[in-house]
Amino acid sequence: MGTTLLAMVLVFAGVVLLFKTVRMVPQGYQWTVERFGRYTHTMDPGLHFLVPVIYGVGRKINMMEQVLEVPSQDVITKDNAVVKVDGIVFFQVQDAAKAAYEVAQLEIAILNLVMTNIRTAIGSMDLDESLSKRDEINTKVLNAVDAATHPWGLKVNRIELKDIQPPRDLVDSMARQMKAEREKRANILEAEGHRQSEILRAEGDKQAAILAAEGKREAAYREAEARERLAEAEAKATQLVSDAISRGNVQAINYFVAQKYIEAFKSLAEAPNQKFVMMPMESAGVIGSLAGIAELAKDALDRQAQTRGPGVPPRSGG
Amino acid sequence: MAWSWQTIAWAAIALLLFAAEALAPGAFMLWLGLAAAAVFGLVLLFPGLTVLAQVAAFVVLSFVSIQVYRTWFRGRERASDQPLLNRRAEQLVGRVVPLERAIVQGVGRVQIADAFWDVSGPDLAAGTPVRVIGTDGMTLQVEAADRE
Repeated sequence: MGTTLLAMVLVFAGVVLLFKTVRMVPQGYQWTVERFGRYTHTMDPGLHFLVPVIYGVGRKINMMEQVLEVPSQDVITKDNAVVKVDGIVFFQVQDAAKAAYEVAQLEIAILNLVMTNIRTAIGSMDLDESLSKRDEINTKVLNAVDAATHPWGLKVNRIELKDIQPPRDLVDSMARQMKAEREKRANILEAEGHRQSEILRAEGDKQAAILAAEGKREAAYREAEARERLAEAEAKATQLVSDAISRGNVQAINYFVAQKYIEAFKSLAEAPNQKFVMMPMESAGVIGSLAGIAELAKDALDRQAQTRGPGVPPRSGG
Repeated sequence: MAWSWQTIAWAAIALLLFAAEALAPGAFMLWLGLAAAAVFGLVLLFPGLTVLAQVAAFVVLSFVSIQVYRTWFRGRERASDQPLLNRRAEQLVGRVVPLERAIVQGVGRVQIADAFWDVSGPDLAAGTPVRVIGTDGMTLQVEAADRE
């Protein structure tokens, strides 16, 4: 019976010792090793053998990049608006021993650092700034937290503000402000368009008036010129006629007068509604001029007869 | 030759331990299993062994099997094809990045991905491309990149 008990104890002790001797560190972790409670070295992933009892595993440190949620907190901006801010932190342990022994409650330490640094960053900005300059805040907080966590063997890779939420009524008034701004711009644009179109129209009118006046001026010039030319022509014609008369018989003028007279008479006679004609002119004068023509003709015939010589009879109706 | 119940028991223990190792790898059950298998052989060869002797042999053989592994097989392990896994700083060796902040008195800073790293090296102006040549904890050692 005694040997059986001894065998059982032996098996138990053997299993426990073996369990303490063979240690398998999974990938993504590093385990610290302590010799009688004092840190000696760090075990990388893989199979390791430790002298049992003397050496023991201290902390098992996660070496993968980890994400921490920063809980929502109220932050007061420089212009005294209270905003709710939350975020996330990505960090990775670079030095397992420091992360294991330099800081207690690593995650709480990181969270508090991040929260206070977010407060500092946003507290130095106006509300508008803090809403529009998230990248700047992220970088600021990241730099501060990264530097502060170096002694803990941590690398903080990224800090991101997820949400910056101003109070409800502030959001409403911001929306109203934006709407008013847009409306203002629309009104101004409309007025400007109106002004522009009025100016264009007035300019068109002006141009039209100028052109019309210029046209009139030109026309007047030409008309005057025409009258001048007409007068010149008449003067020349009169000259020619008077020259002709001075060289020929005075009776020749009667030919023109008679012709005009008959033409005028003809047009009177042709007028459709004027069949009854009063003749106010001196019939005797006309007859006189006809007599003048007859005399003219006779004169011309005489001259012809002289040039062609005697014996040649005058042509009738020539 | 009929097997005694002890022989069968050791064979069963060995198989159970192998199965346990396969289900929940932790390496140490493997050594126990190998030891149990060895005791199974011993009992088969020397049927007269007492139970206490068998158990003692089992415990001793467990440690012997570890020692055998350590001395014979350790150097012949297949190397990881990603030896730098989880070593962010060492992964950066060889990278060329511009200095984000000038190195003054041996200390400057670069930005790689979203993270900022402190660098040490000869004094250089901001914006100079530098090559990471080593790591010193969380500080990267750099040199000017145009120097070959």
